[in-house]
Amino acid sequence: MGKNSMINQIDLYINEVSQCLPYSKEMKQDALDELRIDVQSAMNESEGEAPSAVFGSPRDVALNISQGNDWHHERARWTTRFFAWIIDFIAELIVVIAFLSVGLLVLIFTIIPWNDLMTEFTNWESGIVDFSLQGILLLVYISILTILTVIIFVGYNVVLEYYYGATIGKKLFHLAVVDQTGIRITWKQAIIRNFSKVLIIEEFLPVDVILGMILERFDPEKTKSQRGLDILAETIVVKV
Amino acid sequence: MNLDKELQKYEIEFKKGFSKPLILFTLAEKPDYPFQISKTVREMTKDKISIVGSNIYPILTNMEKSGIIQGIKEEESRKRVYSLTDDGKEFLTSLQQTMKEFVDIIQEMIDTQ
Repeated sequence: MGKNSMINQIDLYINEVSQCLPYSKEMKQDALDELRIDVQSAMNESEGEAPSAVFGSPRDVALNISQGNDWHHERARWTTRFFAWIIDFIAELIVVIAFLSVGLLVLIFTIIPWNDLMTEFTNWESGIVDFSLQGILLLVYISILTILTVIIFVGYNVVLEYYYGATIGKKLFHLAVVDQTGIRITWKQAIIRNFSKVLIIEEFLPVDVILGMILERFDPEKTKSQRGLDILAETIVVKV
Repeated sequence: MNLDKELQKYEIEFKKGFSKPLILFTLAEKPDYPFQISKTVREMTKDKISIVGSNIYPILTNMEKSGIIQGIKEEESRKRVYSLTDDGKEFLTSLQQTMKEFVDIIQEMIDTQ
């Protein structure tokens, strides 16, 4: 293996490890520098194997690094999480409203001949609901819009938390969602912890929070500031 | 029953307790950076004990927290080099004593079997 391609491989590997640690650059720099030197030494003695074969999977390495450091020791407070949520909720609303406006414009101008449709709907005196092609199209279209709206609400949280360890609101308040061991959460964890946001405007979220607050009474140390679903997903929200 | 497998399990179990003392022995000889420490441990024990990849990090940081070793970053090589602290040297002396007593007893037991 050429020297350059090995350095590239190591860079990619370190980057993968770094992505498993959703903390600021300054916090993790020393640990990553140390890792780089060790991986370089290990690679020099290996016979052209990939870094993850020589040194372990990025997730395992991140776990080992996280175990020694207490970057994730301070839990976010409920109030901070609430303010972060407000920002996220506004962001989500803006996206949803923009999305629905486009959806509505498309509806008005292209898909369905609006005038015909109005007649369909005003024709109800007969008492017979006429499921014309347009009517069905409209129903399908509205259903799709609704489903997509839900996907935006949940997806916003799941995708941002998986890739960046934080939503926009959390980022602004220097919070991150991590696994209990301090490393980046998995897809499964991101989906589980955001499941209370599945209904259109996150109606289940207060229940989830109140459940968390009740459970917190029993074990304040371990379940501090965790929603019910955080406990289930084994995730925590921490200050970074 | 697969005796080989069973033997492996026993071996892994009793070896576990030695990795920390061996790291300290290594550092008493020469301060070093993590990869090299693992390598020395492996060489000292003729491949009997190897600390794989990043598994040494939590061990080192815990030892550093308890004050028996310290890691100092060398400006030039950018390597973080770990060495025994004064407390660590004192600790190691007691540890060696305790280990020796223990190993002697075990040795005697194995011999008389």
